[in-house]
This record gives sequence, C-alpha cells and structure tokens, in this order.
Amino acid sequence: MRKYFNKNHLLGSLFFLIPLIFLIELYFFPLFSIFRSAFRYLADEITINWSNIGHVFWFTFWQAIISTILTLIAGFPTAWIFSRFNFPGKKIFNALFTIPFILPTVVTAAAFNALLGPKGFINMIWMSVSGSSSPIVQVMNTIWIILLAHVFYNTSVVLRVIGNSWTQIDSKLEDAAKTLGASPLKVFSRVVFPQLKPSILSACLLIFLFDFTSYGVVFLLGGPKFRTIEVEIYYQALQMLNLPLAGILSIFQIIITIAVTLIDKRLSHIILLNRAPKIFGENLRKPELRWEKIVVFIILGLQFIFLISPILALFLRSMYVFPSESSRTTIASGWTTVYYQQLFVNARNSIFFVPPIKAILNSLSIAIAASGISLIISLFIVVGENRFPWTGKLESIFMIPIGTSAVTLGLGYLLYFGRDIQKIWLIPLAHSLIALPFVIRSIKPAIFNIPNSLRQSASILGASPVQVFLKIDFPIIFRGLINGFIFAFTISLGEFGATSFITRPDRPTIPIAIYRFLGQPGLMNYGQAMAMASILMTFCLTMIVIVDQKE
Amino acid sequence: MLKLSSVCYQYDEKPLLNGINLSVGEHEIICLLGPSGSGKSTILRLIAGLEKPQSGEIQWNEYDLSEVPAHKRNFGLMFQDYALFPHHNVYENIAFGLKMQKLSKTAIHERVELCLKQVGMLSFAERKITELSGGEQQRVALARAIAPQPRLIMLDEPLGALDHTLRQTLLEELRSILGENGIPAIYVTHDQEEAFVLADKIALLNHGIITQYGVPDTVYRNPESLWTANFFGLNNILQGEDTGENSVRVSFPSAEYVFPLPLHISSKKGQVIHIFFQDGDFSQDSCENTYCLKGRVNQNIFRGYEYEIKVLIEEQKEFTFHSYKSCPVNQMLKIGYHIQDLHFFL
Repeated sequence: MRKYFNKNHLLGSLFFLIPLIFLIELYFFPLFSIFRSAFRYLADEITINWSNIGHVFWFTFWQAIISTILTLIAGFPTAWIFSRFNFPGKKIFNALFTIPFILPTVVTAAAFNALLGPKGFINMIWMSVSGSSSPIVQVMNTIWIILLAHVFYNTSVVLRVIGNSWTQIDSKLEDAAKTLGASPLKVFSRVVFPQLKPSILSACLLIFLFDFTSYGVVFLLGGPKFRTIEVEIYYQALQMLNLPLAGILSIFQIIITIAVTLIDKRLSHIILLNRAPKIFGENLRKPELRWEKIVVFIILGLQFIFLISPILALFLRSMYVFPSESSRTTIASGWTTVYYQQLFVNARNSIFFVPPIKAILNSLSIAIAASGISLIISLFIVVGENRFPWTGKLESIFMIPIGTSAVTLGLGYLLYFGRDIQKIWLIPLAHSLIALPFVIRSIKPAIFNIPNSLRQSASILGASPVQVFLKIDFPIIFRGLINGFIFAFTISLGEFGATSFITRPDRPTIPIAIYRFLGQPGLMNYGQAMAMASILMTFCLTMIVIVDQKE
Repeated sequence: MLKLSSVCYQYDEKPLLNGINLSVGEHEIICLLGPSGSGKSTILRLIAGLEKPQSGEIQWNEYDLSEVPAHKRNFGLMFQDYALFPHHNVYENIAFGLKMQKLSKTAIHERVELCLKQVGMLSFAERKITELSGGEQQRVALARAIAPQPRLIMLDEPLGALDHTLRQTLLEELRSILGENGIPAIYVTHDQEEAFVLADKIALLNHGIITQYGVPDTVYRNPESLWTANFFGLNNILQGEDTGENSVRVSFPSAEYVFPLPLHISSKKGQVIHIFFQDGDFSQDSCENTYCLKGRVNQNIFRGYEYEIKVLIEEQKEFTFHSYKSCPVNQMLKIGYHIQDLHFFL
C-alpha cells in the first residue's frame, strides 16, 4: 500500500515540476526581488518625498472611485434593458458592447486619440467645417479623457456582472409589488435593488480594481501630469532609477489588490447563494408600450455611440486624410492606404531602425511562442491535477499571478534578471506567465468534463496511459486548447505593462511601436499609430470571433 | 481461469470489500448480484486493474495479475454509462481496441463488421455516438467490448439505464451474443431477473462479502439468511423462538406452531429463529402436508398471467402467493408445507 502511494506522489510531482520551476523563476523570484529591494531601502535610509507619494495614492484612489461611479451610471440602463427586454439584434449588441473590454490599452488610447485627440475625428471635422485652426475638443492630457477611457473599458463589466444577475431576478416579483401598490421607484428600491446589491458591489469592486491598477490608459492618455501608482512605479524605476521606492509602491499595490480581491471573493459567494435557477428567457419580453420602445432605442443608441465610435474613429483615421492635413504634407487627402504601406517601409528619419512591419512580425512570433509555452505549462498542470487529484491543491498557486499587476511583474523582472533583461526569451516567457491563469481556466473544464470511464474504457481496450491522453483527452479537449491558445495569443499581442519594462529598443512589439508613434510629432507617425492600432484591434476582434463561434 | 482469493479493498478508510473469493471458469457467466453499494462494481474495477486491492490476490490461470496494468490485461469491461468515445463514430469506437492491438486495416475491418453484425448495427457504422439512442449505444458498447476478443468480459449494469421493454429484448440478445462468443463473463446487476436469465452462477453480494454463491435456482430456492430472502423479495417468513428442545415455537395470540429445528442451526434456547416458507399448497378445507398454517385471504390482485394472493396468517403476518386461480377475499385457507419447504436461519 505504501509503495503504491509513493509512486502516485512521485508521478504527480513530476507533472508539477516544470510548471513549478516556471512559476518560481518567472514569478516568485522576481516578486521576491521587489521585496528585497524595498527592504534594502529601509536599511539604507534613502530620502523619499512622501508628500509626492501621498499625492499619487490620493489621485489613484479618487480617480478610481469617480471612474467606478461613472461606469456604473453609464452601464446601468443598458444592463436593465438587456435583462428585461428582447429586441432584434440583441446578440449582436451584446457582442459589440464587450469589444472595449478585450481591447489592449494601447488600442484604446489610440482609439480615443483618433476620436477626441487634437488630430482626432471630431476636431478635424469641426476645423474643416468652421475653418478654425484650433481644436474645439481639448481633452487630451486631462482627467476627463482618463475617466472617459475607464468608463469605456469597464462598461461591459457592468453589463455582464449586473446584467446577468438581473436576468436571474424573477420579474414576477416586480409585478407582485406593483399589484400591492408600489410605484415604479418603490419597486426598484424595495424589490429589485436589494436583490441586485451583491452583484452591484461585486461589479464596483472589480471596476475599482481595474481603474486602481490602471497603467496604459493613464500613461498614454493622461500625459506626464497624471500618475497612478502603476505609472509612478514606471517613472521611479525607469526614469528616476529609484528602484527601492518603486518596490515599496509595488508592495502597497499588491496589498490593496489582495484586499479587494478577498472582499470580492466573499461577495461572489453571496451572489451564488442568491441565485435561483431560472428557465432562460423567462424574465424577458419584447418592449411593447410606446415609451418602452423609445427608451430602449435611446439607451441602445447612446451606448452604441459611446462604445463603438472610438473604434470606428480609429479605423477611419487610419484610412482617411483630411484636406487641411494634406496641405502641410505630401500625402494626398481623402481615402488612403498610405499609412499601412508605410508600415513596410523604413523611413530614413524614423526613430526606428527597424520598419514597423518588424514590430508586427516580432509581436506575432512572441505571441506564438508565449501561447505555446502557456499551453504546455497549463497542460502539465491540468492533466497532472486530473490524473493525480492530490495535486489539485497546487493548482491555486498558479492562479496567483492573475492578481499581480503587469507593471509590478515588469519591475520584478527588471530587478531579478538584471542584464538578462535583454534576452530574447524573456518577453515570451513573461507573456506566457500573464496568460497562464486564463489558459488554465479555459482548458481545465474541458479536461475535467471528460467522464473518467472513457479513459478507463480506453485503458481496458489496451491503450497505455500515454495513448489514453493522445487518443481520448487530446482530441476531446482540442477545442479548449485552441481557445486557450487564442486567449494567450490575444493577451500577448496587446500586453503593454510588463513589456514596457523589458522591451529592447530594437525589438519593439506592436503596442510598444504604437506608443512610440503616438509620442512622435507629424502626420505620418500619427497615421502609422492609427494603422498599427487598427491592425492590432483587427487581430483581437478576429480572435474573439473565432472563440465565440467555437463555443 | 480467473481466481480471486481473499481480496480486500477500502476507500477513504471505509472497507468496501472484505475478503472476496471468486472464480470464473471457461465459458462461464457469473452474475454479481447485490444492492447498490454492496461493492459489485468495485470487484470489476479490481479485476480490470483500474484499482489495486489492499490485500488478496487476483490470478489468471495461476498467474498473479497485481503488477499487470489495465491496458495489458486483455479483459473487456462494459461500463454502465457505456463510455463511448464521443469524438469517434460507431466504427471507430469498435475498432479502438483492435487498433491498440496493432492489427492490419483489413483484419480490423473484418472484425468490426462481424461485431456490428452480431449486435445488429451494421448499417450504423458511420453514425455519430450522439445520434444513437440508449439501446443502440448499449449495443455499440457491447460490440466494442467483445471486438478485441478479450479473455474475459465484464459488464457493469449494462441494462441499467434503459426502459423496461427494451431491457427484456436486449437481455435475450445479450444472452445469445455472450453464448455465441463463448467468452467467460462477469455480469454485475442489482436486478435478480437479469441475473437469473443470464447467469450460470450467481454470487450474492452484501456489504463487501459474498453471502451466497451457486446456481441461480438453488440460490433463489435456498436462501441461507434473512437478508438473502429479503433481497429476493421472499416475504413468507415467520419469526419463532428456540425452545431448547431442538424445535422452534412460533406463537400467535390465536395459535401456536412448533417445527423441528435442523441440526445445522446452532442456536441457544430463547434465541430468535426465522423460518422461510417456500411455495406451499393451499386449499380451503383439507391439509395433507406435514405442516399447516391457517390464514385468511386479505387481497386478491389480478396480475395478468396469474393472481397475487395475500394471505394473513393467523391474522398477524401477511404471506404472498401466486396462483392461476382467483381466491375470494376473506376466504379462510389452510396452507400446507413439507419439511423440505421450510428454511431456517438466525
């Protein structure tokens, strides 16, 4: 008996050996370096401008809170009509409204630039109509564009979390309250709201967390004036070269993130408890009254304009040159593919000594490598857990990276890898770590849904353990693997936070290239930023469509 | 052939099997019959090599199997949920085991066709598993299990998930297919009818122990314990007390019966003894048998091919009889038994 269990433990441990080395080397050691560096500060007593740090914390908090409240207000009406009404094209709207959430931050930044920036769509139209030479909308590098982008990003969280929970609430309860004499306002405050409260809180916490750890949006749209903790870590680490302080900031960040995550975990438990299983569509009806139709139409229209116009603007700006722009350059006005063509050309005065197409190829090869690594590591973890259930306890440690911000990770790499930071393999490995929790989540259910009797049947019919995996598990979870690969691929393509710390100047990824283009003056740089962002967005949208279709 | 000797198995510290001894001979069909949780399926899993016994030995032709992994045992196992591979069609499912044996394509093709023919599913070869009904899946699972010509085939409640009429027809088919192939089989079920139809020998299983073993009608007609009688639904049982003089006394308010106690029952004076009354001849007036019980017809239920008659013995204990003739309710009856119809157990 003892012999049997030892063998079991040994084989199970073997499955976890590679993933564990991967996690320790790419996560725990870098994180440990941050702690070590921060504690070194305590010993060395470097002077720190605490009032500046206090200012950063204060800004991070209040912008996150205001963003959260605004997001809630922006998404709530749509959550309501999605959970109570059926209307033509609902599925399409639902899919369209999730797009912002999956966009990489650089694409969002570029999209808002394309819509509201000084060279943005609205300002260009205004200028060509009015003949004025100064833009009417001046929101770039203000708090407004940060708030707007945060709301844009997280509205789909409101739609998903609150909308799903609202769909579950029996609409007959509202009818009952009405017959008991409650006004519509009372029905909401006494019947709907109390049931919705846990999911509203949960959505708020989630959004707060996203806004609190916001990096790309603030960094790219807010300009040098605005610094969240994340952005401050970047400045301290890469510009002030004050690594201990960056470390201390990271630790604060981690503590707050863990605290919020723990609260959210408790909440989601409550939400699950409150959920009564309902027949799908039971609470949905067509808008029938005249006012209902009008309200649904207006809400959908506004939501659509808000969430889709930046995306459309981005595409348009990547392909259209206004007459006023062309007068100052050699580019002809009107519809053009010149920005896209230029991606393949190495302009002599470009800051790149590699053409942008290299950045695209670089990104693609990094994404393929990262997804491959992520997939293999996850397979080890998930198959190991499936075959040796005692290892299930180990799996949760591979979920920890999900709560760590990319910037913290980047800082950790900077501190831990030192000179190796320039090594080619570091970015794919970093991306595969960031994607790992998502890949595990997408293939774990697939493998655990296979009834064990299938494997046992195969084994009895003469299949060895390896053959069982190749002939049974693998073909059945193949779709799950593809989905996992696509998730990892999309995450890697758009990753900006960690990459901005460890990228090599001569090997930019697409997001890094977009960031650099956006920072350069001149129409051609601007146009190329738009073109690259459009390409990246197209990649992401295609990926999501593939995953959606498979499901 | 297959031999299990004092096999013990426990899961989570809970003993599931407590010393199982069992052997399966050539061309023999053994039924493991018992209620759910009695350890039937566990025995199959141990034989198949999916689990390892904590103690005891499983042998095939005197060869210890403990170090032979499941995929090298060449046994067939048909799962209760059939466990058909959803990513393969019917043909590929049946061919799976043959491919594992690395047979040639033509050999595989011939064998699959033959098996499909045997289960009457020849035209279903290209079907997806998800397009099959429960009964069809059952046939494919059977074909897949017999295709690699295993040395032994095990069937785990193969008809459990099907409705009654389908079970009847499939049971008969199963009987003839198992017979045709001549593969020794172990059949697990909780349904005594299935066991009776198929089995050469029945092993009755309760709480991880084989309580009785033998030819079906012997086991059914000679229950050796109260549990066995109850499991078979034999309720014509009276409770008596050892008189201390090699006899059992059954007392009713209105009467008292005394029966001689057979020598193999080792009881003490005053101990409770159960008597199972098998068959019995009942008549209205005369009683020609050695022992007679008196009763009154309580219910007379028409069951189609027979009547089920419930008789209240001495107004206390209800007995059930099957008869081709109807018996009016409230009629008084005398039920006669020979000494060999009485079975005593503690």
